Amino acid sequence: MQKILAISVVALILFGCRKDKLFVTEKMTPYVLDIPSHFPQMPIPADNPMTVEGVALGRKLFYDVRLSLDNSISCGSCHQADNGFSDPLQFSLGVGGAVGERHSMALVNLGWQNSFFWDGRAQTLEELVLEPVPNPIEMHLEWPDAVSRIESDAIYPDMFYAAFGEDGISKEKTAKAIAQFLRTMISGKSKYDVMYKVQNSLPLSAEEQTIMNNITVEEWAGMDVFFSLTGGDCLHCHDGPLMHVNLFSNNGLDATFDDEGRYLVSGNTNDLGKFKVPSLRNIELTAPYMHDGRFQTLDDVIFHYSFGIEHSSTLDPMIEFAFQGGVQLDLPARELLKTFLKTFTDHEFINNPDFRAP
Amino acid sequence: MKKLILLFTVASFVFTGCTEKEPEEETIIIEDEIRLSLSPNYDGQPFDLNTFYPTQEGYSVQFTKLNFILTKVRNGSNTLCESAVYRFENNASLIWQGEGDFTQFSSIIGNVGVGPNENHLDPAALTLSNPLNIQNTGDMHWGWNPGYIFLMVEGKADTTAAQTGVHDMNFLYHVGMDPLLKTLSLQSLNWVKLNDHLHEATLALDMSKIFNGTNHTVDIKVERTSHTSPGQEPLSTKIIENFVEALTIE
Repeated sequence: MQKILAISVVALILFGCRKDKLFVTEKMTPYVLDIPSHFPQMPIPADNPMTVEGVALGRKLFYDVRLSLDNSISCGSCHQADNGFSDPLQFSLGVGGAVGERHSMALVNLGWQNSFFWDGRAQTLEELVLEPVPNPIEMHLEWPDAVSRIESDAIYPDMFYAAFGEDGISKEKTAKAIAQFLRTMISGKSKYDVMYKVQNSLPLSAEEQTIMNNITVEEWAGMDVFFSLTGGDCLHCHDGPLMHVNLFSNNGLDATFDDEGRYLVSGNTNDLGKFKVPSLRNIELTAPYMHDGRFQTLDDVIFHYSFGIEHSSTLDPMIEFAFQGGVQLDLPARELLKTFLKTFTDHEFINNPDFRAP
Repeated sequence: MKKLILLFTVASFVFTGCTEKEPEEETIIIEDEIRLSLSPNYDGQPFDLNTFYPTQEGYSVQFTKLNFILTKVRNGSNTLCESAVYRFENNASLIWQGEGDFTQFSSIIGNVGVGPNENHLDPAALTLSNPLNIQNTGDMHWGWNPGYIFLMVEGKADTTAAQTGVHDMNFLYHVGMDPLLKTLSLQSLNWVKLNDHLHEATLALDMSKIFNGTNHTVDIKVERTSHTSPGQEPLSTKIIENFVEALTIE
């Protein structure tokens, strides 16, 4: 009789009203983003909340070469930490030595951006992640094959279960996990961040006060050149706490366009030769520069804006001094501007072990 | 006894098993919404960013950007919206949409720009749902001290006498700063019912009046740029006053 009683109790426990997904969901650990105090809130999509488990999975996937056809490259191959999560090559090399068509964009503060790739063809981070895996000049692996590889791994199924609270692996879940990881890659502890706070009378922490004490006269002077309407005139496209503005612009690189940029997505002739304005965060480390990586150094970039502006029908009106070829910065001003650009380097971000391969 | 235990077990399943509760009938209340829209034109012609328009000086102009900020839009004690950021991108018409009763807004008064109490606050500290959050205003914010750019008008022009068709003269007007906050007052809004819970009023904007207002004319050949910097305030004043005049009820 006792046996029957025991069986009854066990049956009640096993077959009573279980809500497996809810149970697992409760096991997930919300991921608290380390957002600098002078940054805005980060918009998080409702269907992809940040969890510790999701971020850990995304990080592992980001650095997994099995997402490429010949197991040779991962996302991290073209977005290298030491290069500001960009690629030192002008054009990244894909599977079998395939050569890319545009320079690899630096991955930083992506959670605040609302378009991705140089032409803005992806609207969300989740969409962004779906592209490189099957792209023949990148990882060149069809998603069903990628999912099969992940499914056959000893660890991934459990990690996906932990991250999403249900069995099953898909490209959408893979993208969501990597997107979660990318959202954690926040850079806001550079010298510039301290300068921004000082300029706006925001309180500094002890650590920031130490940084403040090491900001040089030349860096402050370079900041003046950067923001001056009659100096570098850079502020229209590079401003604010994030030092990023969500815009597409033709910045006068060419009179005619080998790469039609944003036009290829929008079909609007007003977008010919326009490209996404990139973040200047860690710009010291992300050479070469521009969508086609044509400039090897910051000196080249500053020289372009000073004297090299090319006219075309879609040249951005904010390139105000185009009529004289650029802003005409002399050598000392160009040096100061370069000095300021280096204040965007966030060593803590670059060296953060949480952003490197697990 | 065994039967009793069996009965107990079955009864337990019945009472504690997975019984989905019948969902309680919910009364879904759909709040009435109102939408404020913009229909720009250029001297009566449909307005877009791909068309070249003639000016009274005989120039040809093409616009590349039209953005502005409205705040404190209200009728007496009824507030229509605290702030709205408009961008003419992809021929967008929406200025603002939200809960409201259209019968309360036969007329509206508001600001073109951001009042001094909000103009110099931390734009990152606002909630993401606030249109004035830096994430939403983007390039319409200079910095804490100068504050928001109230109005952005940019474009290209051919100002040559021969009208060569080459539009390589840029014009750019970024208007802001506290003294240039302007009041917008519109009477007799025409609310159109779009569905049972949404009414829309459309404002008209004649872009030709940006250069050719009642009190100010702007010759873009010689008045082609203002960031409202020292010395540029008079031009910015002309632009924003012409803009306010150009906004009417459709």
